[in-house]
Amino acid sequence: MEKKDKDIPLRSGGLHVVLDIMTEVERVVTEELETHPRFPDLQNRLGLIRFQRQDFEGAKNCFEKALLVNPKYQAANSNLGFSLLELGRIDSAEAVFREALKTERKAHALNELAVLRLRQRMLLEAEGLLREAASIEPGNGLYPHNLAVALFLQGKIREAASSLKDTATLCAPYSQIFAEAILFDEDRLSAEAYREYLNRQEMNPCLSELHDHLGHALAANGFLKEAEVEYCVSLRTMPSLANYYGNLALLYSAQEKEQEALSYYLRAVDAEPDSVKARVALAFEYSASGLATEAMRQFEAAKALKPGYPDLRYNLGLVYLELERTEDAVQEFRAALNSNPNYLFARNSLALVLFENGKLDEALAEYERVFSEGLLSSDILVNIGIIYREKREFGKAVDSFNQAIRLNKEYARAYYQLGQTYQAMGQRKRARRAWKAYLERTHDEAEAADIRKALEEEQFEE
Amino acid sequence: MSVEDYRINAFVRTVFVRRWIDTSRVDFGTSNGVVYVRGILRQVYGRKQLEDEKDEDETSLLSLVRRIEKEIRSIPGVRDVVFRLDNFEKTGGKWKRRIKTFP
Repeated sequence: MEKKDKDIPLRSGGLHVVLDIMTEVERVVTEELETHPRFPDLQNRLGLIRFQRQDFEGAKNCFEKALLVNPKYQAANSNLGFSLLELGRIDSAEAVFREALKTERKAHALNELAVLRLRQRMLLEAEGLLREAASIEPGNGLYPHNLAVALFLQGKIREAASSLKDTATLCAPYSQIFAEAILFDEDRLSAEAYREYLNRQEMNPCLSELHDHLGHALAANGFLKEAEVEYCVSLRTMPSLANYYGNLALLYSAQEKEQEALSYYLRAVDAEPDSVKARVALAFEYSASGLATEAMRQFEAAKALKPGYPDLRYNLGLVYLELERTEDAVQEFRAALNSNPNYLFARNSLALVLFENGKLDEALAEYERVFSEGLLSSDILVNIGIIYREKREFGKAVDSFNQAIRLNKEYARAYYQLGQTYQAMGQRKRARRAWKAYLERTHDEAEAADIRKALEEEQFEE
Repeated sequence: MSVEDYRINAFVRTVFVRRWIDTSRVDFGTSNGVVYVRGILRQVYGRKQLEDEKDEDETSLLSLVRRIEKEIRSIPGVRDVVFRLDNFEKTGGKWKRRIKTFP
């Protein structure tokens, strides 16, 4: 395991500032856990910090807590196995890894078992497990990278060199990593350099998540170069190009360099077309640039990979609305609600589409659920009021508009619709008063001109 | 749809990304130009986490929330922003921290 010093000395104006970023991340995670002790990802993150600090017992406890909350948390399960391995509890570690073989992360589980076999110096078995993992996920550089270890320890130096080159083919930045470690003298693998390289290599690929967080912490505090280095360590721990390019895109986005961010999101998708995270991030970049068709393509590709993600379905629905594919949008909002019935944003957008297409009873039913579950705005209340007015339930309509006004006294649309409703009720004085209030607030000149004209013609005498 | 909700929603995400807001803790949606934000608004690991003094911490956090509200309101097409945050609330036009009463 890598024993890196995380202290970053920074000199500024003669002062020697030391930012221990790991301690900072630990403090933030611990504080958040005090408020949200049942968030499994926080327990997992704290476990990774303890693992990195070589407090394997403490790490194990954190991973177990995460798994108590979410028994299907695969990364926490994997981390638990590595903690047990470090504690010398080989049988327990093996049982944890074997359990993971039954999940969709079979290739990862094979890699974990292989690491265990490497520790036991059962090198031939480790080699077999890694070859099997590589056959399941041939595009993942992790397996040839670790296969090289098994081969090297068996004295198969040429094969190890070839496997490392396969890693660099699958994950291009590894060429640079290997070059910096001076692993190759022309085509020959330097045994001494490789041993040194392995001394600094973390064999638990899930630790990349910790390096991502350390990178985010550095970046959020303005240490951009240091963040980039940390993202590189993350890549070295888990060769995922989509994750690496995604991190770099975040870094550029935070600097408001959207073109560079877009370029890295494109590279992330190009490197791992099956990465849902990368496709969704790219779709959002396209959306922000107003490129609805391109955004739609990325959201649709992500949907094909993970149809159960409500957030993805909701945002695809919004893009369909822009492209005037109303029926498709409705289908997406309903799909988001099927995955998560509490997804109020999808319900709210669904209600709006139904409302705008004249399906007033259906719209009202959706709005009432949105309302009862705590999402409320003047805009929603005005739409509800309009529905009641159309149903000629004038009392309820007036109540809704007045509620909208109480929520936001400057909301011109509510006064306008209130005036329309009083007009329909034949209450001209009240209609006039509401429209006057509307005119004081509106920025819609065309609509205001009509109302002003009507008032001037004294169609509604006091 | 009078405004581009899909675009506004993506811009809101950009605002959060630029400010290193933890997007796993905050949900947002846009409907008819109205942006809705729910959950916990916090930075992943922002500058404020480096402050030792609690008071400075508090000021820094509130200033962050104010800035985010301003940035969302300035997105073209946004007609209103509705915040329902677990850790901050706006009363009388002023932001303040909620007392910690989370489950």
